[in-house]
Amino acid sequence: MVQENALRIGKPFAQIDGDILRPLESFPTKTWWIAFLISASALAVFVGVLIYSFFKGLGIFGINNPVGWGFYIINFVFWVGIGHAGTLISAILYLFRQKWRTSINRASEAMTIFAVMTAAVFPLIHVGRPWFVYWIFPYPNERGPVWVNFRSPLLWDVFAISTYFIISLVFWYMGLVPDFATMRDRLDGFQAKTKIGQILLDIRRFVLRVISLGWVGSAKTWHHYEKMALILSALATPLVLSVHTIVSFDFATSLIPGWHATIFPPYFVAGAIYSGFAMVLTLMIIMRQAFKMEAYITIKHLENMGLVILVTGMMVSFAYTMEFIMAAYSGSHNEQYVFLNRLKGPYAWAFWIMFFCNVISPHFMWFKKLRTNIKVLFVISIVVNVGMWFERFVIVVTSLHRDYLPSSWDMYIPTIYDYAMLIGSFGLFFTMFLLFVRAFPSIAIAEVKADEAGYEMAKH
Amino acid sequence: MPKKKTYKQIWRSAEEKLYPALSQNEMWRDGREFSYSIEDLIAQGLDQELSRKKFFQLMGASITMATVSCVKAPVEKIVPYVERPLEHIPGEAIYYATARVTSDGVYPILVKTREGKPIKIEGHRDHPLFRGAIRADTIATIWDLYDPDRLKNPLARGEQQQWKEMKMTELLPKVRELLQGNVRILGRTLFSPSEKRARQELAQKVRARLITYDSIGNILEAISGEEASYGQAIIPRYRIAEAELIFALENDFLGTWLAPELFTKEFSQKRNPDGKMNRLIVAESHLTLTGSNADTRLALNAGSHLTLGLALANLLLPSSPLARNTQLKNFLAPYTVDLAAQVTGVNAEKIQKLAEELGQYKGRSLVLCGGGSVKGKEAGASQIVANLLNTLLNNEGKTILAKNPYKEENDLSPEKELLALRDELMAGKVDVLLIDRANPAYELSALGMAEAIAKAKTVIYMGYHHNDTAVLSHYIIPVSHYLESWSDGLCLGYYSVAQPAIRPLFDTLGAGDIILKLAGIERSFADYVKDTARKYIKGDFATGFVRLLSEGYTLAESGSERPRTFRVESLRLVDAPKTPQEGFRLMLYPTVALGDGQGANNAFRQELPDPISKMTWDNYVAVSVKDARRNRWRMGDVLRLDNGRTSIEAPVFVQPGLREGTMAIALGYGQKHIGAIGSGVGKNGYALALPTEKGLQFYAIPITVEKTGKKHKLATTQKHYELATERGLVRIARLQEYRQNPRVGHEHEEVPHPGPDGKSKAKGLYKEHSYGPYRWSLNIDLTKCTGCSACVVSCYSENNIPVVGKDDVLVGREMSWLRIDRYYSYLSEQAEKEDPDMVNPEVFFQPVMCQHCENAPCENVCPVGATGHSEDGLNYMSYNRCIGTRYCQNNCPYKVRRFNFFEYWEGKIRDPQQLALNPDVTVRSRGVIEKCSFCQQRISEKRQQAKLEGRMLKDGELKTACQEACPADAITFGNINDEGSQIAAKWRETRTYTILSQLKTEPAVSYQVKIKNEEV
Repeated sequence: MVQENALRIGKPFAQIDGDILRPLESFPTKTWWIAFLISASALAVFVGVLIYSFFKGLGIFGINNPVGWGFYIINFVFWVGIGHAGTLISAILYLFRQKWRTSINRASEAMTIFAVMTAAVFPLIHVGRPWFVYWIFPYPNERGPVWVNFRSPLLWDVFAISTYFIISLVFWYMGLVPDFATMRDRLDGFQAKTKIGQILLDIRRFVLRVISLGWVGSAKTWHHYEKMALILSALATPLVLSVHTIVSFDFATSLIPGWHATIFPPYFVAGAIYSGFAMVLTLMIIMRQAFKMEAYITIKHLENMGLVILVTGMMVSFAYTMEFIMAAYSGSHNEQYVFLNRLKGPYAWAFWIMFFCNVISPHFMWFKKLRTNIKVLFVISIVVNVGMWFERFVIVVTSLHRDYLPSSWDMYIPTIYDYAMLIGSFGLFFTMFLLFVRAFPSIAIAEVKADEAGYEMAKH
Repeated sequence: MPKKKTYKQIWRSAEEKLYPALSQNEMWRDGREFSYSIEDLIAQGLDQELSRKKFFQLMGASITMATVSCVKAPVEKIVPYVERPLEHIPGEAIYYATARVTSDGVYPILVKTREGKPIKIEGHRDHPLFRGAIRADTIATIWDLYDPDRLKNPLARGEQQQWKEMKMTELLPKVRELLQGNVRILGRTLFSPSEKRARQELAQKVRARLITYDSIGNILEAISGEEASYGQAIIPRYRIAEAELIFALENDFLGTWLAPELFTKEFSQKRNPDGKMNRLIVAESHLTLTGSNADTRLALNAGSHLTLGLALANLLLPSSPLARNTQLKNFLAPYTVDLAAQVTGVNAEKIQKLAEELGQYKGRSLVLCGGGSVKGKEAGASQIVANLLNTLLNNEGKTILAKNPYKEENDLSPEKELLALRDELMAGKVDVLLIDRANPAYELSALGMAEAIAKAKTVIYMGYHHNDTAVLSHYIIPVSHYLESWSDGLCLGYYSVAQPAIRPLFDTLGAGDIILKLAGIERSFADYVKDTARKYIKGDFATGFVRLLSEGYTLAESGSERPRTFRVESLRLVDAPKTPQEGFRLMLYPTVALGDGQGANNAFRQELPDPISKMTWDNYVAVSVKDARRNRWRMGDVLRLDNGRTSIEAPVFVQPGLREGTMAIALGYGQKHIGAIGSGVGKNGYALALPTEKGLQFYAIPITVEKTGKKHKLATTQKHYELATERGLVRIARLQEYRQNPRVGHEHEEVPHPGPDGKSKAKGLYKEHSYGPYRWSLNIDLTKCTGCSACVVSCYSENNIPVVGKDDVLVGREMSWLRIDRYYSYLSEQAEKEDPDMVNPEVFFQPVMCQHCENAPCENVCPVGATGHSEDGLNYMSYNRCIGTRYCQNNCPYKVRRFNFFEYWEGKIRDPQQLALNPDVTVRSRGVIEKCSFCQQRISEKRQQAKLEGRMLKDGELKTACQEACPADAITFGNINDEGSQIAAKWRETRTYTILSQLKTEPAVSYQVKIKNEEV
């Protein structure tokens, strides 16, 4: 069978363990340190601006009267979108028995979790009085009790994102258990040279023993494990669709022209998968290069992701087209104006960047030569995410800056702090991701080995 | 069931419970709460062998006590009433009737005070003429009272030129001694008879010459013209309400001329499309508030209004009583229609038509001309032309009355005296110059007054601010705000007393008292006011004066009703151009917000958007669209304007409504010194006034213009973008159309889809609101609204709305709860095609505040439920609950919600500004959304009052701040659950519409289609 050949690694299990765990068991490389320092500095900027804004007020950002939401919400939607691919890969592709997912699901799940964490920071800090942000959680209180407003899509967001985050986290952790056990067992082969080393080793051993939940690898354990994976996948699958659907409700249920559209939920989900896969692609290409994991993350994996980008890219393009058609069809001046304004208004540049990145660039994936070329894939994956960020910019800013009453129209000009927060959010994400690749097996060892065993069996 | 015992008894300790007989003191040792006096303890210690440890304990404690508790508590007067005045209930507002007396007129007002502090200025509702009319500038004076940059102490210049603070009691005698030798007093024209008397007495006592002037020339122009035409130096009473046709020739009577609030009141009274509607024709070169409210507006070339006036007179002459006057005939002969068309730029047919129309309204029309922006070489020329036209139209004695005039006498010095003073000063002949509440160094900068003043040996300045003139002086005497001092005013047949509503906040004194003290008169100025009042009080003076104080005004009739006769000779002062202008001509004009610039150090004035340009915190050169297009000038490009003597650099603002070659710049800006707020804002327009041998020319100043290449950021609250097409917001119709079709304006209304059966009402997802006995609603009649902006300032004052400053307005963060949207449009496509240079667009004003929608889009989206719908129809906002997601702000289609991007009050407010805050309204903190509340505090106040009296609120009993301020009576507010209320009637009228009704937000605010009295 073709699939078998393409995905087969053909290495002994011990070597697979060694290859995958090498980043964890050796001193970090120079590249890692450089990357970590850059990310951590960006994170420091993020925290610095955040503290400044807490003391000074949201006025330091570019938001104003018509445009009440700016980079914060754009970044939020962007990162939530990124956080879609992980669960899609691990849950939906699992249910469809797409074997090629095994090499990439761990890292993409991690990406999901970090992206959702990065995203979740934004709605919490974008409020005017962040010290009262806990009021958006429905909990018994002595203020009346004053309850939250269940009609507000922002509240739905709170539920959708927290649920998604919890499920993703559990799923990720459960998948990690057999690998933690492998790591735990491999620790037996380590010997400390110094006293401190011994203490650290003991701590590590203890921690791994606890978090691997006493995994023994018996047939029964594996049986339970597989059942659990199936159930969790089934639970997580609807969430993949629900999160961005609900995020899109923030816009779709409002009455601002350019926001108020029924196409938003599927459009947002497609866009999220689109950007999520692009991000996975970016990360995988870097990872396989940096950690020499070409054998595990093969060109076949990358090609498949390229195809997903092509498909979701076309779905997104379809949604864009439909928005214009609906506006033209609506006969509503306000609706039509918003879309004309996108095409040729003061933010037309943003629209055309988005158009090029999201509508044109995926079509390179039609060609096998291009979608198997790692350089091309890398560039496209980044271009797509630039495009997806601009998509959210176009949605948030161009709709708000010129809505119903021309008297209130204004421009949104981001300040240096807005850019700092954007860059800082990447700092937050990459810092977490870099720590992840150092602390966790970034490829699901057990699953890879299981597949490998499957191929071996099939050969006989 | 056994009766439940109520636990009335409470106790704090077991002893208290066990030995209730013991009084609290007895429980403690020695019957004192603090038993240990240090002496006691030492005595005790000596008895009980004071240990070393105990000694140190005691010493430590005594030192602490000595330093802490024995310091005298700082005196903080936090409770104004130690002994409460008998009739006063804390928490209830007291209103004082008083008047604001300026050099432009007397404006009756009510001062709302709470716990002894004035917090708001309202119009005098019971004044027979003003009937509550007030203008933006007057409402803003409350912040002048609490201006932290006001002069707080008398100042004297020391040897090293540094300022030394003094006490009023020290400075006044010192200054009095100085008033010797060649003394000159320079001041403004006055409307206060008592102040006038005191000032004359001072001048006599110190043998000083008194020179008075008028900064923008409103009074000068009018009174000189009247004096020349009729030989009687009065400004007559203009009965705008009686005029069916008003022709304003380069006159801004609705914006900045004399008493715009009164004129607006009278004008709007006849602005009724269902009854007899008046007609306003405006011919002007710069787009003013009056011009933007015109039914027909003719844009003139700058400086051509006299020619137009004379050409109209020429056309009207044959059918007039003066038809046989050959002198007049000869004088007018050269001013033919064709010449006028050539000079003014207005189509000859239109001039002809205008003359015909004026001819039809003989005795029922009113021609107004003059004002600050037409002060020419020869003061009064414009007024003479107006007088001529009014005479030809037989309006004298009908719409214009000499009885009960606006100003009774001319106390202005001829302008040549001003020039003489300057020369004297320059020659060093003046020993002492006393400047009374004027700012000549700034206002007369074109005359070189600043340099001249610097030459005087001693300059004594009395005024409110450390302004451009004060910095040149040697002694500064701070004058109290008008709410702190006595004054009076005589205007339009009413004598008003301005009484203090608060004791002076600083070491200041009322102007009258200062003048009397300088003159060495040992009487208080209040006595002078009483002396004057004696003339007008009939019967017992004591009771009469108390009545005068409580009412604020009394009748003071003067003059005769007899029509005056026009002196044709006066026309020789009129020098109307006979050739068209060439090059650029500059108009200088006062703005609605800042006037002549005295109140420039008031952030609320600075941030009040100009009604037409919506500009804040700046003035600019208004240029015509054609000039801008040709020269590629964009908003913010800095131009250098040179009148041949001085030049200034000012940013461009492209203003529709101007003819090619016409430019205009606002006065009142560009003061170098006045305070932290006003200093250095904008450019000084006065500097460009053209000095002639007779005085200053304020209009049609020939200038050369040069682009500097620099850019200046202009902060408008409403930007100019490409023309937005009809969105159902701007609804204007002509009277004729309205009479034929009362539902005019509703044609293109988008309505929600009626459903397949054509009947089903679109239903919301959530259940409908239920209402109690009240449901508040507001209506704005756009036919009446002139865009004067009094409502905006009133709203700021009532609701503690912060100003944000230029930087934040630039970003678009102004906080106004009520804004006036201004749109330009055309009534027909043809009109638009005919006017590619936007010389005569329609100007449309639409005040927009929170619409209190029934299906409010903001209410749904708030995650914490900080905004909701009350059972009396208000869309309320609870600031305490708001966490500031700004989702409501985004989702509001009217964009009326405002976010506190920074902390605007706490820590920002400068003492004593906090006193101006309305104690009934929460001061919002950083991070919350705020918006119009329909003046909830006013509703609550009146509703509680009604509840106590066991009745429902009566219609009209309750007024919102905007409604109460509106001089045009354009705003109606009330309970729509009451079928008989005015507001319910408004909703039934065909002109009523709501904006964005297609969204089904169902606003509680409705508008009425603007009707223009213009033929199709």
